[in-house]
Amino acid sequence: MLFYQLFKSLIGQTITIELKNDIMITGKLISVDQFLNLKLSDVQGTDPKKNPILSSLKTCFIRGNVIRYVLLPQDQIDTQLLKESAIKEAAKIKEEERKMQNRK
Amino acid sequence: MNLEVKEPIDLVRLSLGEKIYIKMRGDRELRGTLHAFDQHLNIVLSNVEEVLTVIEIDEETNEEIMKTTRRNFEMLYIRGDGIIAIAPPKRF
Amino acid sequence: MTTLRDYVDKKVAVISCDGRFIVGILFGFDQAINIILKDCEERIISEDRSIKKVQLDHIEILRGDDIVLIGEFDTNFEDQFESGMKTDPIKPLVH
Repeated sequence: MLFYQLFKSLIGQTITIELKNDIMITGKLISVDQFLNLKLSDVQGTDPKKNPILSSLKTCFIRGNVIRYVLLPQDQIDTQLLKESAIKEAAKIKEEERKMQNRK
Repeated sequence: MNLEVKEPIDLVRLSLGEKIYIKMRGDRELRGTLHAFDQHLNIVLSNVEEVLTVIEIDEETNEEIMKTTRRNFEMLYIRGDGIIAIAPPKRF
Repeated sequence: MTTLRDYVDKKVAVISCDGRFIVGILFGFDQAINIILKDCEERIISEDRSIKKVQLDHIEILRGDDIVLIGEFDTNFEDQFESGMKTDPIKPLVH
């Protein structure tokens, strides 16, 4: 949920995604789902000379599992908040695991 | 905050805000400051340096040549399924 | 929720994990992003970076696990494909 929230907070921002086939795509983030599938508009290959076919896409849907990295806009990230959310999320998962253990 | 280290993920939690080293699939290594992680080991790092190592074979001499390329990123989300190992960098 | 609903009945371009580039009309999809394409054409990118259009006479069903991305294809771009545009081949996906 942490990263779902993070990407949700970045909707409308321009991000660059590097895929596991080395393609780099830049575009405006328009939506995200629980699998961290991302949808971009104003799509462009980061290096248009290499993959001009990417400019033939108006919007595109990228499956979360093919993403290697996402380059995030640094000025849009509240690192303090991120850190706190990460600790909270880790504690929440532990709590859930404990409950599951007790049920067994 | 619970400072106990019982599970591997606890070690990651204790590295929040610190510079860490990540070994990735495809001969990639990352160094940067850890800001967030989840149970899948998806991660956000800042001030990242990526080192990519490629081994090329010289056609004439058949020698293996190691080539490294470096890239820098201000703020990077890394999908957890590409991660092999995480460590605090001072041990390296 | 990110879905493919707004792509249905539109011309889409799909890149598969093995590096194929297919253009077709999106007929249907499911939760796992398995998709059905009709009127498909494959754009084969050869070694010299040129693009060849091959008509596929069948309906293509692509498994979600084999899909890298699906994009809404800008038909204005068709001419540029025709005019011998060059592009780097798409590498296969390495997990």
